[in-house]
Amino acid sequence: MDNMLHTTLTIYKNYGGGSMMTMIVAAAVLYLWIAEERKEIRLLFVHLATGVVALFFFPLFAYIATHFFLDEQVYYRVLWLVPMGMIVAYALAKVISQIGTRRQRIVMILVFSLFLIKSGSLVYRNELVTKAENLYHLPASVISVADALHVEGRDVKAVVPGEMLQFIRQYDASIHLAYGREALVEGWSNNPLYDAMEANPVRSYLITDYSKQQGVEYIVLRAGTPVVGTNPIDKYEFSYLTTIDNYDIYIYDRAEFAAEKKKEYESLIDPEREDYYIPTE
Amino acid sequence: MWLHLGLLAVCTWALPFCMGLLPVRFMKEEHKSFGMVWVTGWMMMFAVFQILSVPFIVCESSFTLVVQCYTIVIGVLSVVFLFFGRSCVTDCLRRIREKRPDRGQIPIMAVVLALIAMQLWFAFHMQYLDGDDSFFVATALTSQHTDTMYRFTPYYGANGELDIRHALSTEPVFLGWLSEVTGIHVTIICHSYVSVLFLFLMYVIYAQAGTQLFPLQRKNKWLFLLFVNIWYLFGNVSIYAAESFAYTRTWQGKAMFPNLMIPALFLWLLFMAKDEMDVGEWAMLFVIVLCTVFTTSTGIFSVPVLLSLAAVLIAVSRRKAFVLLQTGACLLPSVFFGLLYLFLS
Repeated sequence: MDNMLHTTLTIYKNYGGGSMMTMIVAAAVLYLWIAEERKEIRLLFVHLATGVVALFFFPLFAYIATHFFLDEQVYYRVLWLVPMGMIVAYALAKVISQIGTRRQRIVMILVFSLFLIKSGSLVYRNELVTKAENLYHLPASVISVADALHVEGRDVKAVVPGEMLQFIRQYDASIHLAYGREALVEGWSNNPLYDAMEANPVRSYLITDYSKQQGVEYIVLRAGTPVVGTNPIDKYEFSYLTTIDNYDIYIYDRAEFAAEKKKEYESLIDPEREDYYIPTE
Repeated sequence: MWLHLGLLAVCTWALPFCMGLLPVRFMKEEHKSFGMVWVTGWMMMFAVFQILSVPFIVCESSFTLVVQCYTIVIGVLSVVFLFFGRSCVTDCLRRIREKRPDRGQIPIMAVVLALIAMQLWFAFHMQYLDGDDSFFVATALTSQHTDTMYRFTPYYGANGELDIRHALSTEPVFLGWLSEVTGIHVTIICHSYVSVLFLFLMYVIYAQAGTQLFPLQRKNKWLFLLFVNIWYLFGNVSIYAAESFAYTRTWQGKAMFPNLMIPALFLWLLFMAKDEMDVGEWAMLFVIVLCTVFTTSTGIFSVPVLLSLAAVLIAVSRRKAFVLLQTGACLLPSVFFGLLYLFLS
């Protein structure tokens, strides 16, 4: 419990992310504490908000919360109980409403708006926010690959590169994976196939052997991934099927639907396709 | 396509509107508005789904059964609520006539509406590839595909035991229902529709709060909304901030909790603090607490903390101990689901 105060302080700092967000909220609460006359507003935006933040920092509360109810990693959600936007917007609107002339009001609206803009960060400038490629808001390559893997009337099991793990089952739940998003998060799972698949170069025997052990019917590799081993992948019962959006798809020869799929994609195979297999002893 | 869009409009506009009419009819006159009807309607829809689906989930029944039962129940309830709450429409129309904006309000109102429209446009056209969707969206899709709920790991599709940790917050299954009824892929529903819809719902809740915060100065309500807009737009200060969640994970329960449920709870706390609680308001407070559990299991613990603290402050301030009892009654959903969680886990 000794470290609780330190932990909560770190969580609080991280919540604001180095911005002035929490300072602005504190200033708004302070202003309302001094200037607000309406009892109900003082009660909610000053006393209740302060009470929640005080509880957040109170070591015994933090200890009980993180040990019995919430994970320490989600303890920051206690801060969600303070409607920060509502408090700040109310305080700013109240300040402006008390200004006499229209011109001064307009100037102050601009000043406060600029202050909020300068001290915050525009959500659309987040590097992970990009233009949507389709209505699914998923990478187009994932959709193309999933369509190729899909087999009507049955589920299939595949192993796909790391960048596809989070998305493919949002598009098609009939595609099972040898491992999912948890493989990307340290400490969540430990699947040797993931390490084999993400190695560069990949070892043909290793990925096919692990795949067979785990009942995988498709192996999807980034096109151009160097493959090393005594034999190429297709010598281990995984035949090259097709390349879609820079992803090479291999199918397990013993899969029930293998013959049908191979026939479907036979005509699409590029005869000049470059193989990145490097034979080793 | 038009049939699918029509069904989507019925499920997300007409049904919530009908569901909101009856509770709002029993609210105080000054709280009645079409915005309030729509907000309470959504809360009712979430709450009915939570009550109805949890027994099916715990008993490991099929997803189809939940879809069928909920569709029938919500359909019947909508008709009943529309019939018994129809007088509310006249009240809301009268309120609109009384509250016509004056000319001075129009410029700031236009800026606020333009900002909201811009955000809705961005929500539709921009994507945020969030890792947690491999759980939330995939859970909805897995429910549809396997006809089970919280049994298959959404991450990779393996069959396992009932996932109790998430099973009591049924929001992903609700999205699965919406997808099943409308025939639109759930990922499109989440990323291209609910992302727009719930952002709009959030601003409708803030607009209701603005009306209550500035009951006599309507111009200030728009000023308040302007600053709320800017605060949210520039609130992407960390991955933990509720404001970041509002835009990047709008359809996820854990984004709905701080951006829909907490503002709604504060709106109701404002009613409580002003002693403006009628039967409708108390009933809706109970419903909103239920909705917090619907969105995230975090609500089971944190909402009782917030409401208890608020109730003590209000009871002391108004010298009215009965408020404690009334608030305690509204917290029963949290207590019930908390106990259920402990029992099942």
